[in-house]
Amino acid sequence: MNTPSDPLESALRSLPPLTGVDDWPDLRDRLSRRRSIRSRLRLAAPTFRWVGACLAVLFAFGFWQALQGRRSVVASESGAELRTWVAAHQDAYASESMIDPWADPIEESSP
Amino acid sequence: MGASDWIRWVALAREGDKDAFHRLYSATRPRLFNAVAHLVEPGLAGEIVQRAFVRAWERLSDLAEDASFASWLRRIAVNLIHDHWRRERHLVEVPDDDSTQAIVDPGPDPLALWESNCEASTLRRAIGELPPPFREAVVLHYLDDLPVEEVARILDVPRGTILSRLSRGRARLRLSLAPVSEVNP
Repeated sequence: MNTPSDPLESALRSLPPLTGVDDWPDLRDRLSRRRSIRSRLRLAAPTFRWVGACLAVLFAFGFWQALQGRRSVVASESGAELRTWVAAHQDAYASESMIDPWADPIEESSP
Repeated sequence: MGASDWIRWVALAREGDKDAFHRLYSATRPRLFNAVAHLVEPGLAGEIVQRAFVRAWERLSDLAEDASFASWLRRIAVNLIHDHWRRERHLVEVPDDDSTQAIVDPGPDPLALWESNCEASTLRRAIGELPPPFREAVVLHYLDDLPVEEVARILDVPRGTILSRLSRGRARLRLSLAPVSEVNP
């Protein structure tokens, strides 16, 4: 129905093109203002890696410190308990050498 | 510009080389502008073309085949135009078939009255009055000289739909140009 000799098609194909103006300077400015998020991320990737590594080290150090602190608390509490026990034992032994300071609690707890 | 040139310039542009992107711009801008200028108001065409290139620059890494840059760029521009039409509440959907069934492409006018007398401005005005779906098919196929398959890919519709839109677009153009041809035999 529509052969290549169709005058409408010929007229459409031979319509002089609208070319507009080449505005590369404007486009270049726009490109400079808007770098892609991906390329920005790609450029910032080494920085992100460094920051991530530093945070990981800090976290590990903090965790280790907390663990050490907990251990020292437990140790100091254990030490205090031991010293209290030794002092009580020594006091009891000094007042009456035959009394075992643990005898009463054992008797109370026994059925 | 051969396919290898396209591939090279796209690869360089993807790495951030603006000179390479400038070459792509120079090679594709005139045809892209011609198509866009027939789809939107003349004052807006330049802006849409620039925005299409900005978007292309930002998303070059998404381009699957480097040699198909021009086609990909055209798709970006068409999407921008669709966004514009939606904002402006243009009718993007195809007119109801019932109302256009009567408009059957009669084929070439035997008298070819307006063949040589139809002025470019008249033809451009008639194209501008086409409903958007017909207009973009006509512009991309006839003015941009793209094959039907390529137009279908760009507009993301089946080939048969493009053929139908072209036929109905031509029919509307004939109707729209008929009074002119009668005045200018």
